[in-house]
Parts: sequence; C-alpha cells; structure tokens
Amino acid sequence: MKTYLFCIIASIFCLTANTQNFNLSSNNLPELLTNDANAIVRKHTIEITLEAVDKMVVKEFRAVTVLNKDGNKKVQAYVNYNNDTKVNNLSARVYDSNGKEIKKYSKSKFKDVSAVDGGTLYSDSRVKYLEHTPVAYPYTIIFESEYTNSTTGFIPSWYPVDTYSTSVESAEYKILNPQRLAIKTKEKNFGTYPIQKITKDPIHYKIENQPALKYENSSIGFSELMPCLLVGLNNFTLKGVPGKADNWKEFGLWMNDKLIKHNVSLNEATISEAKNLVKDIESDMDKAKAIYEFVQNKTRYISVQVGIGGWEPIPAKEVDKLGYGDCKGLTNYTKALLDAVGVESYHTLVYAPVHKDIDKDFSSLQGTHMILNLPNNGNDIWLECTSQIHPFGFLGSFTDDRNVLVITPEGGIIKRTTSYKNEDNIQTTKAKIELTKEGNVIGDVEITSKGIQYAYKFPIENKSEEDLKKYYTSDVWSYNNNLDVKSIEFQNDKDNIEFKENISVTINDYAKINENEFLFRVNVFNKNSYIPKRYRDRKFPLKIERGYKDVDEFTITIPENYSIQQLPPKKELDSKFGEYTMEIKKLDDKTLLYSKSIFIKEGVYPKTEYNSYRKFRKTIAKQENLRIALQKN
Amino acid sequence: MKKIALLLFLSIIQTVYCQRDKENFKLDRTTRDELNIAVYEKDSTANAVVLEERGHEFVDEDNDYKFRRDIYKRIKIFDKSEFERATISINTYKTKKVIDIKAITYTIEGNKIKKTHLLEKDIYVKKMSEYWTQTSFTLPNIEEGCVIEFKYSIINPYSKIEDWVFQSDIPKIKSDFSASIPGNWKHNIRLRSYRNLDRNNTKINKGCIYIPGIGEGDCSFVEYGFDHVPAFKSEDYMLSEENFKAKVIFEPISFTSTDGRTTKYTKTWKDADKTLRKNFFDGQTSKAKFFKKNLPNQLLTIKDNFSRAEAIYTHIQEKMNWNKRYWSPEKLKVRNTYEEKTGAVDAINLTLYNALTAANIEAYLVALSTRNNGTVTKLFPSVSEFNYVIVKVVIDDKTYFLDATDKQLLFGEIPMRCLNGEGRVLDTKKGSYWELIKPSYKSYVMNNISFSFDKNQLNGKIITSKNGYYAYNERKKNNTISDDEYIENFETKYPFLEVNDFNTIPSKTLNGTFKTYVEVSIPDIEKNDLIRFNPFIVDHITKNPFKLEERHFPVDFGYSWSKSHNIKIKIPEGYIVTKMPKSKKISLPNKGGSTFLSIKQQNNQISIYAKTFLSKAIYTNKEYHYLKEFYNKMIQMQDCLIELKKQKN
Repeated sequence: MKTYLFCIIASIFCLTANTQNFNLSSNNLPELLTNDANAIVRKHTIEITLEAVDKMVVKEFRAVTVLNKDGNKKVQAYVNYNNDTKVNNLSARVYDSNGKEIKKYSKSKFKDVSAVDGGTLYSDSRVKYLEHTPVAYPYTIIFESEYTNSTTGFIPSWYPVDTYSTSVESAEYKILNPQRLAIKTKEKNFGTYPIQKITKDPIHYKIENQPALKYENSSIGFSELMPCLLVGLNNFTLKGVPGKADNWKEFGLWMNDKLIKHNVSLNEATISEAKNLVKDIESDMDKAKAIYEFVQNKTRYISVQVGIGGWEPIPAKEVDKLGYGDCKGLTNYTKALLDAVGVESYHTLVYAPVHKDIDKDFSSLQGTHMILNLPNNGNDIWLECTSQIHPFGFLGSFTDDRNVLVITPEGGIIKRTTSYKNEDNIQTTKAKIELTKEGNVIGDVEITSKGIQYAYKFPIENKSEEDLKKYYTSDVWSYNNNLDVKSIEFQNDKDNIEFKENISVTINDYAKINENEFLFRVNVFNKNSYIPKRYRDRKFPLKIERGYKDVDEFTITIPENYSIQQLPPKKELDSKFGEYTMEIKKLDDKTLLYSKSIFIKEGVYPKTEYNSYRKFRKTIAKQENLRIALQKN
Repeated sequence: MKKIALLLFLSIIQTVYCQRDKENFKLDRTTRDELNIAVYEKDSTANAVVLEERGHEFVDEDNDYKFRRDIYKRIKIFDKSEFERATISINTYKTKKVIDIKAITYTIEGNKIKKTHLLEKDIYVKKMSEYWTQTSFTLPNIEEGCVIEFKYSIINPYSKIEDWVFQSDIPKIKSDFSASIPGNWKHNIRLRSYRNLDRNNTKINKGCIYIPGIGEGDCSFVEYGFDHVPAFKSEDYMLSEENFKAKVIFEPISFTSTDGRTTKYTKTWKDADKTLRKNFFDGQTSKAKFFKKNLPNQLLTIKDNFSRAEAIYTHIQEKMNWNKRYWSPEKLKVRNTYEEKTGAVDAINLTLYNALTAANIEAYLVALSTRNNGTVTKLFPSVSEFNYVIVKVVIDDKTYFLDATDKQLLFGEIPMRCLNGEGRVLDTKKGSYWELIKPSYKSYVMNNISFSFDKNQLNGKIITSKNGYYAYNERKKNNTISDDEYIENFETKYPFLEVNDFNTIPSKTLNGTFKTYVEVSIPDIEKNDLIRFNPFIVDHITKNPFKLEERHFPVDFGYSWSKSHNIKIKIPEGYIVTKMPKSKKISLPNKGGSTFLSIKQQNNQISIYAKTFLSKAIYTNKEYHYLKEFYNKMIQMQDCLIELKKQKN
C-alpha cells in the first residue's frame, strides 16, 4: 500500500513537472494543427483523484493557443460549481505569440455568476469564468483549476477531441484511485483517432496531434462522431446520498428505494378525487388518459433544483398543493394518481432534447429529463408530463426514438421510446385555387399533418389570431407576397394525432399577364425549395435526421378567355434519399389538377453521396418553381 | 451597468427624517366578478389582463431614508399560454433590495373562492453576477380563470427613480403611479403618452417629513393613472420599444442636504455637462498631456490635419480591443486603457478623444443613446438616457464622427447602433449642443453583370461593389473566413449558380468599397430551342418584408440606401429575343424613393439598368402602405424573364 501511494505521489509530481514542457510560442506551429483551426489545444490534462466515495479532487491544466476571434470560445477557462463543490485553485496566464507572459488572472479576477437557465426558478449551479479581451492574435492562455466535489456520481468524462475547428496537440486524462473503489470505464467512438491507452491502472489516456475537424451541415451528431471515455463508480455519492450503479438493475433499485418510493403518496382526498374521475371508465388506458388530462389541466412546469432535488422528485403531495413541479415532480405526481386508480406506470430517465441514448451497457447517472412509462401489456405508452397540450401518449421530437431507463421496483430496465419515421410523418395539402382574370388567387387550403409533422404543427393552436396571420404570411407562405388570410380554422384530433388546418386566402398579383399570356407558378401552397449547402470537399457522412412525406393536390380553375395549351411533362425522381413525383393534368378546359408528392427518407449515407443528395434536392427545388403559361383565346 | 449607478451615486442622507407619508398596499382586493369574467371585453384576444397595478415611490424612514417603491399587481389569467405571468423575477442592481413580498392565487372551487398563499420558503434569491441579484417566486395553484395578486417593495439607495411603464405586452385595466418626494429633491418629471391621463394630480403634502433640529418638510406629491391601456405590440424595422410605450420618467435636477449644500445634476445644461464629465467620463476629459508624451511621435508630427487625425484614429482603433461593454463598470483611467489595450466604449473613445486633442485636432465628445436604448428627451437637460459616447472631429470645416471600438469601421464611419437621431456634443468653450448623427458614407450595392452563352451553358460575370453599411457588413462577416468558405456561402445563397472562377479575391482591406468578382455558370439552360432565365441572378429581392395590414409605428431603416443592377446580355448567334421585360418606373410620394428598370436591345445585346433607392431613413406609419406597395412592385419588376429562341434555318 505504501509503495502504491508513493507511486501516485511520484506520478503527480511528474505530471506537474510536465505541464509546461511545450513551447509557449505560437509562431511556427505545424500545419497539421493550424489547418481549419480557430484554436489549438496545446496541452490539456485532467487529473481526477478519487479520495473517497464522497470526495473527488479534479485538477485541470489547459493551454490553448487562439488563432483568431472565432477561437476565443475554445479557451474554456471556467469551472462549474454548486453547494457540493469547493473551488481550491483557479488561475489563468496569457502569453503573446512569442510566448511572453502579458497578463495574469488570479481566482478573485474570475467572474462568478449564476448558471441557472431561463426556465429554472432556482438552482445552486454557478460558474466562475474568465472574461478576457484579447489584444492580438495569436495568443495563448494557460488555465489551471482544482476543485473538490463531495458528489462522485459525475466523474467528468473525457472528450479528447475538443470541438469543431480546434486541433489538439496533446491531451491527457488520468484517474487516481488510492482507495481502490470499484470503477468502470467505456471507450466510445475511439475509432481511428490517435488515442493511446498508457496504463490501465491507473486509468491513463493520451491523444496527440489530432487535426481540427470542420463542422458540416447534415452530419452525424457530435457525440456520435467524437471519441469519449465514460467513467463511473459502482458505489457513488450524490448530494450526500450513497448510490449504487453496478448495473442498470441495481441503479434502478437504488433510485426507486432512495429517491422515489417515499415521494409517491397522496392524501386521501386527492386519491378519492382520482378514483371518482375514472369511476365510469372501463379500460386502463382510458383511465390513464383521463388522469393525464387532469394533470395537464391542474399543473404547469416550474423547475426548482435544491440539493438532491436535481434527482429526487418533490413529493406528489406537494405538487398537488402547489400545482407545479419540474419534470420529475410532474411525472411522479402523474404516477401517484395512476397508482391511486390502479394503472401501472414507471418513472423513466431520458436525454432531451439532445437526441442521445441512455447507454445500455454503462450504468451511471444519465439523462436530463424524466417521462412516464405505462407498460400497457407490452405496448408501451409514454407520457410527457410537463406539457399542458400534448395528446395522451404523444412524445414528439423532444424524446422520441431513443433508449431510456425505466425505473421499476424490480430495478432499472432499458427500453426504447416511440419513433416517428418516414411515411408516418405525412402532410397532405389539398387546395381549390381560382385564378381571376386580374391575375389574383382565391384559394381554400386544407392541410392535414400527422406524426412528427403533427408535433411541429399543433402548438400553433395556441397562437393569437394576429400571430397566426403573421405565421402564414411571413413564415409558411413567405414566398407569396400579397397573401391575405381571410379565415383560419383548426381541428386538433388528439385521439388520432392528426392536425387539420382550413385556411382561406387571396393572393393579389399572383400571375404575370401580358398581351397573349397568363403566366403563373403552379405550386401555390407547398413550395419545398430546400437545397443543402454546397461542399466542394465533403468530409463527413450525410445524415438525414428525419424522414417525411408531403402530398399535395391542387385543383386550379383558370380565368375566362384563356386556354390551356402545352403542359409540362410528368416528373418522376427516384433516389436512395427519397422520391418525387409531379404531374399536371387537364381535367377539363377550365381546370387543372396539380399533384405532387415528395418523400425524404431518413438515413446515414457515405460522404461521397452528399453531392447526389444535393443534386436531388436541387432538381426538386427547380420543379417546385415551375411556371405554366395560359394562352389568350 | 454604470448607466444605472452612473449619475446617481448613493444619496447619502445623513439627515434624520421622520417619515409620515406612506402608502400601504393591501392584498385581498380580488372580487368574485373578476374570477367569473371569461374575456376582457376591450381586447378579446388577450389571454391575460392586468386588472390593477399601482406603484408608489417615497422616502422610507424604516429603511435608512432610502427611496422605496411599493408595487401592487392583480392579474387575471384566461388561458394556460399565459401561466408564465405567475412567475415573477425582479432583478436588482448592487445594494438595491426587494422586501415584503406577499402573493395570493384566487380560484373558484365549487362555489367558493379559494385563496392559496405564496409561502416564504418558495421565494428564491440568486446572486446572478457581481452586480445583479434576482429575487423570484411563482404563485401556487394556477389554473385558467384564476386571479393572481402580489405586492413587493424595492429599497433603492440611489437617487435615480426608475421609470414607471404603463404599457406592457398584455393589456391593463388600471395602472397608477404616485410619488411623494421631499422638497430637498428636485426632479424633472416627464410623461410620455399617446393620450390624456385619466388621473393626474399634483399637490404639496405639507409636513410630510420631520427633520429633527430643522423642522417639518414638505413633499411634492404627483399621481398619474390610466384606465384601459392596450397591449403593446412591437413591429419589425422599428426603433426601441421604449420610445413608444406610455411611461413616466424621472430625471433628478438637484438635491439639497440638510446642511444647505446643493448638488446640481441637470438643473441647466451646464450642470448636465459637468455631471457627464464627472460621472460618465470619470474626469478623464483632459488627459492630452499623457498622450502627447506616449503617442508615437511620427503620428504627432504628420503635417496635414486630416492625415494626422486619420493616423491617430487608426492607431487607437488597431491598438484597442473592445470588451463588448458600453460602460466601464468601475472608474476608468484612459492611461490604463491605453496601456492595457482593452476597455469599454467609454474608455476607448475617451482615449481616442484625448489622443486627438494631444495631436491638436479639434475634437469633441458626443454623448448619445443607442437605437436599442430609445431616444433622448430634449425638453430639458437630461443625462440619464445617454448610454454611449463617440467622438466628433472638425477638420477644415468638415465634421466626422468617430468610434474606435470596431476594427472594421472606416475613419468617419460609426456603427449602426449610434444612428438614433441627435447626440449631445460637449463643447467645453461654448457649452454643449445637439447635433444630428448621420453616416457620412453612402450605403449602396452595385451589381455589374454580363451574360454570354456557350455550349448550352449560361455564363455570367458579376462584379459587385458595396459601400457604406453594406461594405461594413461584408468586412465584418468575411474577415475570418477563407476564400473557399466565401465561395461555399455564395453557392449556398445562390444554389443554382456554380462558381467557376474567382480570380479576383474579395477585397478585405479597409479602403471603403468592398468589391467582388465572381464568374458563374448555369448549365443546361436550353430546352426545346428556348433559353429562359431571370437576369437578376444576384441580390434579387423576392420577399416583401412588409406584410401587415396596419402599421402603428414608423419604419426605421437607420440610413438611406440604394441597390442597382447593370446587366448586359449577349444574344448568341442564331437566336432572337421572344420575351423581355418592359421599362418601368415607380416612385414613392414626397421624394421618398424610386425603383425603375430600363431596358434596350441593340444589335446582339440587351442592356438592363435597374435601380432601387430609398432616400429617407425613416418612413411614418402613414407612409407604410406606399412602402409595402413599392416593395411589391419592385419584386414584380425583378421577377422577370428573358426568353431567347433558336431560329430555324
């Protein structure tokens, strides 16, 4: 044991002695590191010492050379803290391009601000950060920090590749574990990155000479692309409460026993109110729906995070009294009411809104949000309890299609939430369009949206009339100048998850009229002219995040004294990214039928396919702009 | 931040007053009728309405004779979309504090009125940053149809009395404000309103205060109130909302302490100038000596006045780095600013001012209020509305406004945020005066495009010159991107154009005009012996920014501008022109602007010259409809087609 301790001391010594053996000058940096880079991480070391199950010390040394003003944000000289954290050391030194020290910041010169986001009423999260105005580029900042935390449930993970447009000269990560606490790690996306595992015990990794990567549109998410080392303790402490995470089963048992169980009870009056509410309802799911709607009417989302409250729901009784709670509080309250009427349901941890899975093989404190799972005999139903407007069982894009942790009295279980894929996300637009001889449009449009398109649409129901007019003129149909909304009607079918808009509009001066022609764009109401950004040298695969389908059918009546002569041919495109068809038919002398369907398929495609995707969209965009000419009789 | 503390340093009142004037707002004023109403009749679209709100400002004996504002509000919530009204966050600066919070939610349960009180434990105080604290709470048991009622008080150790804003984004049935201020304080009180007040009283409250050893003092009492204040709705292209909301504004004139000493803040412009110099500029207005010694000598010895001024400006602009603040939070010293090379707007432009003075350039400081901050009153001397400072120089009878905080500005160019009417020029000899701040560079875009055809491909050469704010924006956007990125962005903006050549690289220097040269092509242009295309291939306006049926506030572009296209099309051999647009011209009334297209065909060439210009920076709400129509016509004009047909042999 003694030798072991000595070893650690020696290695700490080594690490400290090492921290500055790189050249502080930012002249003559190799092209490998400066290409596409706004900043270079010159040397970054994180050293974590697990002193006890309730004490860890995190030391960080970060030297960054900033090449231009976009690189300033890569300095990242800050430390997050809260009531569990003691910031021991904090300092920064600034060097000019020749490596000469030009400025020094001590701990007291760091700004100290609340790190509470706008949606939260209270939390003890704070951040100390450096506000430095650079006087010339390039420059180098060395930031050093050390803090002690009594919560060991969140051992900082290692992200060796910083962010986009940042190269890494060298970065190291080390965990010292003198108490031999049971620890686990998981390497994610290490792939071909130049990462070295120096020793297994202590855990020690290093990356060297990682060039900067440039952000590209329609790519795989950063967290799936970049390497990451996850680290967790089997026995940890969370805000003074000992916890267990040997596996998901254990972790779930712990959460249920220590954080949830005692908060689910309600007082008798509320229990009988709930029972009364469902007394005439037969099926469990109909009961659950009645309870869900009751919660939606009674509560609203307010986030207050005090102490372990970041992970423990406030008691259901409290939510009952106050009428508000955060995601955990509202989920827990809904569960309490469902318990009261005998419907099975479980708290569920999920990442939101970031589309990320709870890691099914790595049990630790994960997730940023809580929803409710109703097993429903194998046909899982998921409830978003923080929303006052979502239909029963509808998640939308906030939490759909990802692995989540369901917490049952028998332990934690990984499940996957509902997904809304491709043709599920359909929008149908039917329109009757009358073209007047002055070149105006009088139109009645009916738009029906389902799946994720429903999710994008249905919140407009709560907009004021004025905002709705603005929404249609400046947003949906911004390409139609002179559009006037005459009437708006909605039907929100929450049972079938279907949103219907009926809108009457006029568009003045829509057509261009000259001596013998009447020229107009035939796609009046659903122009899809998205064309992805052009890359001359695409580096990352293409990802189409969300598949969808739009079907349009417009009946167009033409004005007196004009006739339909030549019509454009039918257009059909079929590609691995989706399909497109467009056809204009003459129904009679006065009437045209425009039918279009566009289908975009979700998926990941190699980078070499990016250009053909762009071409596909470009061809569509061109078609969407199609004009036809009517001839004067 | 300094703006708040700025003039109004702590009013250290050593004197012991005896406070007799106090308004005690009591809760429990909600009626059953208020709980039963389903809609606010005067505005049926409102999802919430303020039933009543009151504010009262006075000097509080229980709190060290500091200013105190009691606030009371009662709000009806019709719809869940307005539940957020039930969360109240009060931000206070430095030693200001919030006390005596009480709040109740009223709901109907069965047939009874249910009251739910806010508990002390559910009030949260967060220190947001070094200077700001936030006190927040949310009312319990909120449901549609409920009424919330709350009150709190703010203790204010500074002498600036905050504005009372009658108008907000939801309508108000009743909004009242009163103030009872001891006679040793003098204020200018300014009311901004779109109609007459419903309540308006001023009187003297005799003996409102007792000062031991001196006697009783009087207070001036004012009271203003409105009934049925409509919701304020902001519009695009408008100046700060603060310019248009109904409000009452207090500007301190002077304060007399019990020993008879009077501090004058803004009694006259002379006092105001002094206040500005002392408190805005921290007494840093005559530091030329330091700069005489420390500025590079080769700058000071330039003979020509203009060149010397320009050299000094460029030196300060290049050396200094703006920290994105308007005001230094602590007292500033130009000497330190110059040496540390960083600072807020006030620090950098004061440095510039002193440096120019050291170089014997006729220079003045100009205090102004930025576009976001609202316009400044001219009814009486006032300083509290200024939030920015620039420098004016006069060289050979010509005036230039300077701002050294932005490296992309030219000599004589100022950021858009400063274009907000007049600024106050501080002339130490003649006293201060107002002067209109306007850009000295014309803002325009000129596109020269020439088209030719080759192998079923349309080729275009585009030379674009941008000037004024258009050039500034380009410099700002492009100073960190590579040429490749520039081209990628161009191709993303114009997806149907393929860039073949850009052998002239976009100029990134500061010499005014931003010029680009791009060669593009559109492949496969010919179909069925027809070539059809719109010659406005860049800078083509397709969307009308003005779509409202009704406009309430002026449209403010900040500056006048013009955009033109000079297009030449070479008709390929064997083709004839079958379609082309006609010449056209549309003008705005009152010389407000014009848009025209003139086209002619000569031999094998079509020439188009099209130009749009708006000659005013501001258009009134009455001119809105003309402007909207003007844009429509311009869009139609640019939505044109050239059609060339192959002649059959």
